[in-house]
Amino acid sequence: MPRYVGEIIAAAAISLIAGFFFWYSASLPAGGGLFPQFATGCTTLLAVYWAVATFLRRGEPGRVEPIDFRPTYEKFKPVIVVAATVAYVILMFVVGFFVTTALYIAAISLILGVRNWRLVGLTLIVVMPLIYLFFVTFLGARLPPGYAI
Amino acid sequence: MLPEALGYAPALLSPDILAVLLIGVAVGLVIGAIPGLSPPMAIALMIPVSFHMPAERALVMMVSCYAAGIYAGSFSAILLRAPGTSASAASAIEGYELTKRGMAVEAIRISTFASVVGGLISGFVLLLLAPPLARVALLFGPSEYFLIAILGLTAIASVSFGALVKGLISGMFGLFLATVGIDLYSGFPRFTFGITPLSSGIGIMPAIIGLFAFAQGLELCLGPAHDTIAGVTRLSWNLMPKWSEIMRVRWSLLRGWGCGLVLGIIPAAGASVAQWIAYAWEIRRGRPGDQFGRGELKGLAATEGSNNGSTGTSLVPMFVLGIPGGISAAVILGALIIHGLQPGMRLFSTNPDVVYTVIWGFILANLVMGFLAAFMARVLAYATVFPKGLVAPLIMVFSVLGTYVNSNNVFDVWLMLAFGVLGYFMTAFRFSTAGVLLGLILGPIAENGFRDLMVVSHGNPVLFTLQRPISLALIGLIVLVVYYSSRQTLRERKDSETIASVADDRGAAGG
Repeated sequence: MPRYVGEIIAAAAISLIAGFFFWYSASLPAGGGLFPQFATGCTTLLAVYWAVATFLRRGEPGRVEPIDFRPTYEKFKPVIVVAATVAYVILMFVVGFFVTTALYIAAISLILGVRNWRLVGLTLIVVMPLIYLFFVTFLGARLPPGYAI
Repeated sequence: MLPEALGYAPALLSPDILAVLLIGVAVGLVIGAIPGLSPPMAIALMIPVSFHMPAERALVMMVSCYAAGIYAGSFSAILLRAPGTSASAASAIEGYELTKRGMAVEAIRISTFASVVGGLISGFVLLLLAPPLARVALLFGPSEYFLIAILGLTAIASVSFGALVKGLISGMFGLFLATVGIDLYSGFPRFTFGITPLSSGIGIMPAIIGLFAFAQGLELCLGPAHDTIAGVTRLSWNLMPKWSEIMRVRWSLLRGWGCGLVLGIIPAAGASVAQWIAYAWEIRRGRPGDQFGRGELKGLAATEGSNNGSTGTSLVPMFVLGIPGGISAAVILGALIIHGLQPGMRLFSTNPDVVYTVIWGFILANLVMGFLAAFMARVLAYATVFPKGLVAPLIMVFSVLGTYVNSNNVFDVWLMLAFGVLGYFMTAFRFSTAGVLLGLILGPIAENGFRDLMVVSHGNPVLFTLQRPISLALIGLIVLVVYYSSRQTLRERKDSETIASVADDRGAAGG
C-alpha cells in the first residue's frame, strides 16, 4: 500500500472519531460541550484538509513509496516491551515491587539483546538499594508489597 | 527598599540557615531529576520536618528546594528525553537532540548557566519589585487569561517542525483531553464513560511521563542494544560554559529570561507556559543554519532561562497578595500560614526579617544550585554512555515508579502507559507530542478563561475584551505572532520549492 493511501485512511479515521465526539459534545449541559466541540470540530476540519492535501500531492516522492508491513523481530520489540510492562505492573501487586522490578529489568535487557550479565547484575545491585533508600526510606512511599518484597 | 533588604542579607551567613539551604537544594535536585516526582511534592514533604524550625529557616529550605527542583527537571529531559517536571518538557526537545549528537555536557552547561542567572534575576526582581508587580498581577482577569492561553497555543505551530497540520491536530487532541472529567461549571462528567478515576480529569504528570519518558524508552528498544544514546563513550568534565557559547545564545537567554519573569507573575501561567512561549519565540527568530528540532543550543537556552526565570516572580503574588502563582507557591503559602505568618502587603512591614531572609535565601540557593547541579548532572550524564538495552528498561521502571509514587494510584500508571504507546506512534508518524502536552496544559486556562469571560461580560466578550488595555496588548501580540509564523511558513515553503527546482534543473542538466 502506498504511503499516501495510509495517510488518507489515518486522516479519515481521525475525522470520524473527532466527528463522533463533536456530536457527543452537543449533548453536554450548561455550555460544557462548547470547548470540546471547538477542539473536535477543528480536528475534523484539519483531518479533512490533511486527507485532501495528501491526495492532491500523492505523486510526491515520499508518498508513493509502499509502507513496509513485513514483520521483523526489530519491529516487534516495542510491542513485546509494552506487553511485558503491562505484565510487570500487574505482577508487582501480586509478587511485590522489588522482585518484579529486578526480573523486569533483567528480562527486558535480555529481550533487547544485552548479553553482558555482569553489567546487568551490577546495575541491579546499584539501582535496587537506591530505589529502596530514596523512595521507601526517604519519601516514605508505599510500594506494592505482594507476597515477596 | 534596597537598603532595608540589604540589612537582612547577613542573616544568611548563619550556619543553620546555610545547612537548611543546602538540604533544600540537594532534595530539590534529586526529586526534580526523577520523572514523576515534582517540586511541590518535595516541598510538601518538608512541611512536617520544618514544624519545629523558625519560620525563616523553614521557608528558606522550601524556596531552595523549589528553585533546585525546577532546574533539575532538565537533567533527565536533556539526557534521556524524560522531563523531571512539567516546567522542563520543552527542554527535552532540543536538549535530547543535543545529547544524541554527543553534546550532552554542552547542553548541561548552557542549561545551568541559563537557569542560575535566570533564577538570580528573578530573585532580585522579587526582592526589589514585589509590591508593584503584584498590583500588575491583579489587573489580569478572565479575558487576559483566555488570551494568554491563545498566545500559548500559537506555539503549537512552531513546535510542529514542518508538519503543521499534524501539529495542530495534536494540539487540538490535547485541548480535547483537557476537557475530560467533571465540568466544574455544571458538575456534569464529560467523556468519562463511567470510569470513575477519569472524573478528576487527565493529569499532566502521567501525560508528560508517558509522552516523553516512556515513549523514549520504547524508541531506545530499536537498534542494537549495545549502542549508546550519545553515540560516544567519553564525556568532557568542563562544566563552565565557554564565553563563545554564551555570546552565541545571548539574545535567546534574554528572551527566555524576559518570558519567564513576565509569565511567572501571572497566577496559573508560570514556568509550564513560559517555556513554550519562549521556545516558540526562539524558533520564529531562527536564522538559516539554526537546527531547531535537531539540537539547537538557542532553543535550550530560551526554555531553561524561562523556566527558572519564572521561579522568583511566581512567588510575588504569593508574598504580596496571598495568591499562589502555582502548585509549588501554594504549598509554600501553606507553610507560611502554618508558621503563623499572614501573607499580604503587611508581611513586608510586620515580618521583614522573615521575608527578606527568605528572598536572600532564594537568591543564594540559585548560586549554590549551580555548583551542586553542574556536578550532579555531569555524573548523571553517564546514563548517555550506557548501553541503550539497559537504559531503556531503567527509564520504563522509573516512569512506572514515578507515576505511581506521584499519585499512589495505579490508574495513573495505566494512563501513563497509554500515553507512552501513543507518544511512540505519534513520534514515528511525525505528530507532535509537545502539541498534545501544550493543549493539555493550556486547555483548562483557555476554557475557564473563556467561560468566566462569558459570565463577567454578560454574553458580550468581544466588547468587554476590547475595553481592557492589557487584553488589547495581548491581542496585538497574538496578531504579531501569527503574522510572523505565517510569514516564516511561506518563506520555508518558498525556500524548499526553490531548492527542489534547483535540484530538478541540476538533475535535468546532468541527465
